[in-house]
Amino acid sequence: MLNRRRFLSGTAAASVALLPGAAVARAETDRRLVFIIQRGAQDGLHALPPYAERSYYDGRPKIGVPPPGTEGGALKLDGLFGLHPSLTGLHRLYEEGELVVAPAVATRYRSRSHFDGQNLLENGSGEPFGASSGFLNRALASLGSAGDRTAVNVGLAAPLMLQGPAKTRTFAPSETAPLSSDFVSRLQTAYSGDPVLAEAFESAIQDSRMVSLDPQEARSINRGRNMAHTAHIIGTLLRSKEGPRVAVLESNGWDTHDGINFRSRKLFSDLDSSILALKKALGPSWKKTVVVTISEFGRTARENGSKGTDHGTGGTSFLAGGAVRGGRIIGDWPGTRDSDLLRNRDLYPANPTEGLLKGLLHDHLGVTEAALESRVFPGSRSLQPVQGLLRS
Amino acid sequence: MTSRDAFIAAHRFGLGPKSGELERIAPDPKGWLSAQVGKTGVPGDVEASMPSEKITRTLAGAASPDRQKTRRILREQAQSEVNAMLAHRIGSENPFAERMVLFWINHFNVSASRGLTTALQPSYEREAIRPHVSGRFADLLYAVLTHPAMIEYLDNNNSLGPNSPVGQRRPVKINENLARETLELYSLGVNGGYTQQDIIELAKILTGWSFPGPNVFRAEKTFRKRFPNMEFEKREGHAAFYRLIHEPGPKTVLGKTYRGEPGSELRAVVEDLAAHPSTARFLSTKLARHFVSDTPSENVIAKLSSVYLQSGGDLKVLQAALIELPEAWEEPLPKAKSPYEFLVAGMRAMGPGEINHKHISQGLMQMGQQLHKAPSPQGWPDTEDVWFAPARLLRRVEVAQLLAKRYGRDRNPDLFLEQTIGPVAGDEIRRVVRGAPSGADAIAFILASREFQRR
Repeated sequence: MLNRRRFLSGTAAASVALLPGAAVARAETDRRLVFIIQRGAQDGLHALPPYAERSYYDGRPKIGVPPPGTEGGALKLDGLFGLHPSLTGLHRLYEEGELVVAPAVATRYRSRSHFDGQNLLENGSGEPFGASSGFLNRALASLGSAGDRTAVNVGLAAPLMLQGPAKTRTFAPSETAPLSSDFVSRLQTAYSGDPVLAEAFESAIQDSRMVSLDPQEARSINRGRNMAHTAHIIGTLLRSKEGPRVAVLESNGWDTHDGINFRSRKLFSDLDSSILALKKALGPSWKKTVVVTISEFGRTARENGSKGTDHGTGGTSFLAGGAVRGGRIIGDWPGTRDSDLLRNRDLYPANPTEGLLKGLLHDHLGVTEAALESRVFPGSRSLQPVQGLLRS
Repeated sequence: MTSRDAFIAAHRFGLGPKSGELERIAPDPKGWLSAQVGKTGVPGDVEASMPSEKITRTLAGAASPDRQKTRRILREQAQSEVNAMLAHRIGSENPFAERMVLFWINHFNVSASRGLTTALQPSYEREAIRPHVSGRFADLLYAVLTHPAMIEYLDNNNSLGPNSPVGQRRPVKINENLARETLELYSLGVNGGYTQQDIIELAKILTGWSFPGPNVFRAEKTFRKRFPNMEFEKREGHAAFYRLIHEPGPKTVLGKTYRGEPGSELRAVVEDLAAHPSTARFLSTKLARHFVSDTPSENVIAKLSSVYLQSGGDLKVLQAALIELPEAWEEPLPKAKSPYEFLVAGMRAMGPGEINHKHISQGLMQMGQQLHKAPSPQGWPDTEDVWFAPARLLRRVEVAQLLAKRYGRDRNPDLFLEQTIGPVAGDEIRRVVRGAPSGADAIAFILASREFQRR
């Protein structure tokens, strides 16, 4: 019954092989790539309500986002889809051709554990414990020297997707007066017999010399209180000539089992203002930027008893940025009727996350097809890279 | 040799030595630990706030003008008990017992992320965790699953059986959260061999276990008229069962069908989950990771698993087995202290004195481990790659410096070194301490040293 599934405009999962990427030296990476990982499983049907489908409202009588033109209604994208009303900035980017929307996106994970789902998403192996490093780290390692520290994340530790052979930066500004250089060198002596502590301390000291913020700003960033502010600083770092080129922003709280209407307003407006803050901070570099949102899985197509949704499958990904060939909704749309659903419960996972990311890493950063298939997303050959995501 | 064992007993099994403690326990480190087994009851010096039942009833019954005020009072009460418990741990003479309590609190993590879980956190430790930490794992699991704090944290109060008396009157749904985490995080473990169907069936068994709140009151309204002879609320210690929202009928979990009286199936399934070999292995792996190494050997895991299974999941026997585990006494510094462990060890080393709770909570926040606020049901991690990541390490060093400035000014650094890390202190740290420009700096170096940061 595949014929009831509609093909959307834009990219088909074409089977044309990727052009072999030119050997990419580190210097060529003036492109910027930002991942926003939405932990807890974003509700793709709340982000991108298919307002024209009756079945959408049948399954979500209490929480369905009303159609465009009504109070609190979706922001219209086309005759089928709208955006959650808090995503006004993304709506503008869509109209300006700087936003691609991908519905029904899913990794190879089909169970319902956040931790397994996030592990699999981030380790890229197709198994929850299939690799102890992250796909993004391996992709960066394939581009050249693993010691380049091309990538940065905000927080006290790197997320799994950034762990691995390539060294990365960790951005967590000091809230107290910086350590004196005398104190630092004496402590380095004390750590000299402990390779783990010695290396970690050395790297932390280097990072702390790069950025200085007043304690209040530092506190707000370290607490994750203001995602847009964090995004702004990430954007500033990425913009600087010597700064990182790739960043991961972590966004928590998407596990909306209850009260999704209330909770998602803040979640989506934070997401929206963070992407706008990146755009503003990146300035001219926005033209060379892609921001992509990913989540471990989706949520049930129908609402549960507590005005929320439970763990499900297909979710919605956004790709924003000046480098994106935007104004399009891409991929395959499976529909929300009972018979369309996976196991009579979840949005059918029509568009592989790995395909999206393979297309992006190849076209934007120049990660080679060979590296993508063998190291970055092993065992994913059947999941075709999505082509034509970027402006040529 | 014994003083090295004293270091291991005090730092790895305990919460770091108090002044003079290393010397005191050196003659018999294992005996010192064994004497603490079982001393996990509610400590006498911690004043208990309200029982959980009173908290839930107070909140559920508070009329809206008083609600804000009631919430504030409950929050303050909870905070003061949390502070008292922290002070107790800093001064405790039974730090191994306290470490076991902390281990299980983290295993069954309830984050103080909502108003109600914040208010209930101390009662959760007092009512569900402490009474069972030295008892049977099955009883611990049962007490946790039926405690209002866990029920609120994992939404079991929003899980209503579609075929329950209430479900037959209006559309309601089951929430699988608590059932999923029970299998994945609390018992069998993620690769323990269960399916999505097992989760659903366990979720059915869990329906009805709740606490007084909106869903229950709504059900009561309907119930009083229609089922005048059915018991509305069945209380069992700190737990409450509501038949009106319980999904009736037989349920099959892991191939076994449970058909007891409504409300009695949970006890039976918990017994079976606790006795499952996957549970033995999962718990043993976590314990071995906590007490032996980030990557414990198969041998250690197998040993603990077999103790667990042979003792019928007796946690007291398991504690004794941990103390006797030769592998736990081989290396002095294989593990990273978590920020909490580091701070508590630092305060214990500084000796008795007033505890500034604001400083402590600021320090914990700075190092990324806010008290009772682990980001997910998984609790805090227990490996050095997390706790010694560069940015976190730098925060620890900053906290070490703050501690030294605040509490370490007029201390004798040589004595402080001997009484904290003496038995294992390397040449590097001894040299750095000897050459330190000030006493406070010397203390800061000791606190920041690998010997103090590890356990």
